[in-house]
Amino acid sequence: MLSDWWWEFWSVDPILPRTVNSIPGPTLDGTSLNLIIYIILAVFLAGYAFYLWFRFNRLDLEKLGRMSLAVLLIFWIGLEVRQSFSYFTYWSADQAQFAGKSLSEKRDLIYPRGFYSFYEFVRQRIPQDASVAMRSKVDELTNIMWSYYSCPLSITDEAGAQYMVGMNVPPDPAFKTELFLSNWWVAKK
Amino acid sequence: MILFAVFIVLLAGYEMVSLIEWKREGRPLLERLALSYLIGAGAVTLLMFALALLKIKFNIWLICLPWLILSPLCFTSKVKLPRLPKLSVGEGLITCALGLKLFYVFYEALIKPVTGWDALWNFSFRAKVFFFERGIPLDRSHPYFLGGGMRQYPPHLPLLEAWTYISQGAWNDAAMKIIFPLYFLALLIVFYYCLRREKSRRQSLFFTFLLSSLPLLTYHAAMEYADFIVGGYFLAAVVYLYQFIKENDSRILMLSAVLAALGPWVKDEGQIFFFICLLVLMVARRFNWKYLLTYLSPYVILIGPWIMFKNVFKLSLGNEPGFSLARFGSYFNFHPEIIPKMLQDVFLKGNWHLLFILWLLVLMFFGRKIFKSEVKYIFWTSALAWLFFTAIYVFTFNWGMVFTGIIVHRNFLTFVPQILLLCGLTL
Repeated sequence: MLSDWWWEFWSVDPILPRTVNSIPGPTLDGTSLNLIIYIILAVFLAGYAFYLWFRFNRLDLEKLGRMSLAVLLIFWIGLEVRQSFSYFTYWSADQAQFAGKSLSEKRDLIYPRGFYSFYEFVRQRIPQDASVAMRSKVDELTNIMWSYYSCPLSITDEAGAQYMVGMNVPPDPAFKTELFLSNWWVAKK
Repeated sequence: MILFAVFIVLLAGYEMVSLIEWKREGRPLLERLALSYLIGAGAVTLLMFALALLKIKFNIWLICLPWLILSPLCFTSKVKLPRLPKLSVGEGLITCALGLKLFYVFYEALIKPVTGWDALWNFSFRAKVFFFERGIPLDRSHPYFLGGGMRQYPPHLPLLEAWTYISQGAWNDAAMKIIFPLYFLALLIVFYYCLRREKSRRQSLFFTFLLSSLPLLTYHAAMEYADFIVGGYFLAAVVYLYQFIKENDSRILMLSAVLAALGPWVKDEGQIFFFICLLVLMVARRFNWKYLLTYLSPYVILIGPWIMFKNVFKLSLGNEPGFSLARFGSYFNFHPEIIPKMLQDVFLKGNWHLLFILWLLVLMFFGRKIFKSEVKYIFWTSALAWLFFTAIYVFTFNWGMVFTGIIVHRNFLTFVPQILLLCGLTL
């Protein structure tokens, strides 16, 4: 059991790098580690209060406070050591993935992997001032990535568009299409 | 050229701080630089906003020229130059730990391009539009009217990002991210010097390290979000408000007022933080017209145009595009059940290390000391901010986002530095 706890303690925070709304705190056997620390602190506080009372016949609140805070800060440092392990893991993963790469290569490595290459493929075939219509069957994030990369390209409806871009949809035989992958294409209307 | 973008921000800020602290001497150089970054970022983006309103296309020289002309202002007050101090072993260790944390944050920010969800569809998206359009599209028929994304959000961050692109002459969204760790560094420096004015170097360094150790703050410092940035302005405004309350120097009050006024320029929450600072000032100085007007003047001058702009373009407040105060009744909810959920999130589930229990213990054991000293004003700023967010969760449509875990921790990022500051100043 202790071995399980040990590995659970050092587990890296499961963070989605896309949107860090919160970071889950560490747990032991599914129980919040903070709760365990609070219980230890409460027991320590009660014990130390008893000691002060019997030893000096009075309760020095400031002394009690300082001692409990010192214990708390030791736990804090322990948690930070654990956290630093997470940082080190992220750092080494990013170092292996991104270091030494060009900006385009880096953009291509972030999720959805390879999407930037598709955007570059499209960009080389569409003039900056052209109007473009989209057909897509992709997740929300891929759509967001398209909007981010393609701006300030003018996106319009199919009727007024000079070019068509297809993302994860079969090409339309009515247009002269250039394929990036079988369902990823660009076409001139 | 990204360093040139940072240099212009620092230059603009240095001039503004020199003007505000006219002939005031003795502020350490590092603190002055941190303040310069905070105020300079606001000054540069406000200038860009003014250019956009005048329909003048953004241009590197137009943005730089005013600050280059005003550069003699930098010499109006002396700063304390840093000397290499002799650090004890403990201080050396803490400094190394801080250095490692800063290295990590700068590395994580700069090694990869924009990845944050909100940045991709809002902040950095708008920045890209502003850069390619060389302005803010004000024509309603424009496909990227007001930059797209959340049009009602203040444009500070997108404009600052656009400024880095303009200075580089290219859309480089990896180098651009230097602005975030620099905000983090400025936050740490302002925090450190606030403590250092009253506490030993070791204690100040230690609490600054504790601040840097907050996991969510560290992650956000390397991401393209605005939450901790508005928190940085709030913290700085509180720090100098506290210094004013202690030293009664009206130049420091003006410094606090400018920093507080820049908060709403970053995110709408900043409006509330500004008025929290104003309320605390009025309580501390038993309502004084002179101080009221002093504090309000930067808000009117810096944020007034943005508020008018929002009115002209009928832009709403906050994160609900259709929100209007006139229809407030329809947004009214009552969900007290989110309070235990919120407390569970911050005390047990979220990763704030032991910040909130530290706060409770400090209040429990040192409450009398806190409420007898000026530190109580720092307590009130964080308590009122917490109260404000709780009210937003309980009484408005935002309650749903508490349950989905989207909102609480990011909101708390905006005021947790004050909680730690209070602990550091009390112990």
